[in-house]
Parts: sequence; structure tokens; C-alpha cells
Amino acid sequence: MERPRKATLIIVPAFQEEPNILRVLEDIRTHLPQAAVVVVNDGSKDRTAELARQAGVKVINHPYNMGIGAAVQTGFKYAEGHHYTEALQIDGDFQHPAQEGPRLLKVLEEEKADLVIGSRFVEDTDYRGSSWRRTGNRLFQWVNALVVGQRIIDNTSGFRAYSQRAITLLAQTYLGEYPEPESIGYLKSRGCKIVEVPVKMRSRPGGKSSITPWKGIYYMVRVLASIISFNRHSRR
Amino acid sequence: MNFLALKISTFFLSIFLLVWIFSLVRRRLLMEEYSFLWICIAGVFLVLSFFHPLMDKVAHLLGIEYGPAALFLFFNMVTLFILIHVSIQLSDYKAKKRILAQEIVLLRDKVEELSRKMSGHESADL
Repeated sequence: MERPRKATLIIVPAFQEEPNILRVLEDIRTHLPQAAVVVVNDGSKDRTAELARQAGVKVINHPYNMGIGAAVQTGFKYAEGHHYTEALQIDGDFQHPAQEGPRLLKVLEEEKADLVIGSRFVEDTDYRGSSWRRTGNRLFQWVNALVVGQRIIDNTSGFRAYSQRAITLLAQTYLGEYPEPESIGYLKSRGCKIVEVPVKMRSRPGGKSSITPWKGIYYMVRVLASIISFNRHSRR
Repeated sequence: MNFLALKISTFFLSIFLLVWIFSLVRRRLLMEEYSFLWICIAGVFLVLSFFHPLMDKVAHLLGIEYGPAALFLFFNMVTLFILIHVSIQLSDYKAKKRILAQEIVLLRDKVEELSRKMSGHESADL
């Protein structure tokens, strides 16, 4: 199947996003009307998949909950299999504003980057994560700067545009449950160009974030462990 | 000091372990590749329970005054290594299981797509 020279796939990982999924898809349709959309339903027990399918987008259903890392990777595999030339990840929780999507894609093309991160902290935006989250982010910044050699301000943002090269690399690589910080080091080790762009994100409107302070500590320890695995990636 | 009670219990423990492992392998509940390790461990216990001086010598070399303590240390170390080994295998299986699940969902998508196309052709033919 030959694709036109440029084809964009929007990857929407979603787990239990019944209250948000329709708004997310509507938002995408308004601001990115030409792009194909795939919702990767990561084993939701609610009506996430049903609603997305009714909205007329492609839905890939994981048979059980495999985590966000697996969900986006399935998206990359789908993009690779269908020869998409670029991908935009927009999480199913309505935090990522689709209207910023075209800007991320524009930067991807203009700067010939492989990864463009929509960052909450590059400039002073309205977004205020909880204090522990900001502390955690600072820790990632420091570790990633050390390991990766580039200062990335928002390592945990999942609002990202990927080049075809990044799609292929990430489709083939096992990233853990916290793919965002880990993929930065991995892509960098493969000589990919990473650019950060400031975006305004919404705070979570419906449902609640899965992250609590205790889980935050757990999260940080696990991400730090996964960052150590950069060396493994770069040796390969 | 008399370690007779310890000797007897260690002896029976190792025999029990050996019999159990063999029966698990025989009933195909445990693959023989994993049984090797356990049989070795049971064997070491058996030897140590028979040759008490050996245990004392090993303990002495490690600077442990009380012979049986060396046995416990040995057992703890072995358990730790086995647990790490099992964690490694679990990680490996998890990674492989994920790859398989992803293949399946993407193939299912392709099959659905194809059958939709085919049924479209059929109705066009009719």
C-alpha cells in the first residue's frame, strides 16, 4: 500500500477514558481534520472503545491492560505497518490541546526533528502540576541531561510529534511502563534530533489522574531504573 | 554440641525436596530444565547433612563460629539468587507476551479490514 508523500497518524492511547474520549476526538477533528486517528484502547472496562468506534475512528483493542508504554508502541507499530510518515501522540484524557498539534508537526518538519515534545515548562504557562510532580520533573531533567547530554525540560509530557524514523525505532523497542522519559534517552542514543515546544495544557477535567504522591515516588524510582537502561539501548 | 536433630531434619528435608522435584518433573508440572537447579540444591543439602565436618569447615572458612549458621546463610543466598533468576525470566516472559498481544491485535485489525473489503466486493457482485 503506497501512501502519499506525507501522512499523519494521530495516536490516542486511552485507558478508562469514557468521560473524555469523545471530547478528545472532537478536538482532534476540529483542529487536525486531515489526519488519520487510531485510538489504542488499553483494555478499558468502560465504554471507551465503543464510543470511539461510534465516533468513526479506528480502534485497536488490547486484550488486557498492558500500560501506556505498550499502548503507544502498538500505535507506532500500526503507523509503521500502514506507512505513515509522521505521528502525533495525544493522550485520551483531554489534557493535550489538539489545536497545538499542527504547531508540533510544523516544527517537526521545519527543524527536521525526530521528536517534538509539547512541553509544559518551557515557558511560563498556566499549567501547575503538584509540587512533588515538579520536583520529580526537575530530577528527570537533571538525570536526563547527564545521560542524554541535552537539557529536556518536560520529560514526562506525552504530547509529542514523531518522525518516521522515530516511529520505526520506537515500534521495535521495548519501552517500559513510563515510555516518555525513557524514549528521550533511547532516541537520543540513536542520533535523533529532539526539540521542545512550549504548549498550554489543560488540567485534567474528568476522572482523576492515576498518580498520587506515594505512586509518584514509586514512579520516580522506576523511571530512574528505566533511564539506567539507556546504556543498554545505546550499546545495541 | 550435638547437631543430631539438625542433621536429621536437614536430611529429611533434602530427601523430601528431591522426591518432590522428581514427582513434579514426572507429572510434567515442572520442566526438567528448571528441575536441575533444585536437584543440585537438594543434593548440596543432603551432602552437608551427612558430612557435618564439611559444614563446620565451610563455616570456619567464612569466619562463622556456629556451623548451622553457615547452612542458613547458604540457604538464604541460594534463595535470593533463585528469586532474582525468576524475576529475570518473568521480565522476559512479560516482554514476549506483550509482543505477542500486539501482533494479535494488529493482525485482528488486518483480518477485520480484509473481511470488510471482501464482503463489500461480494455485495457489489450480487
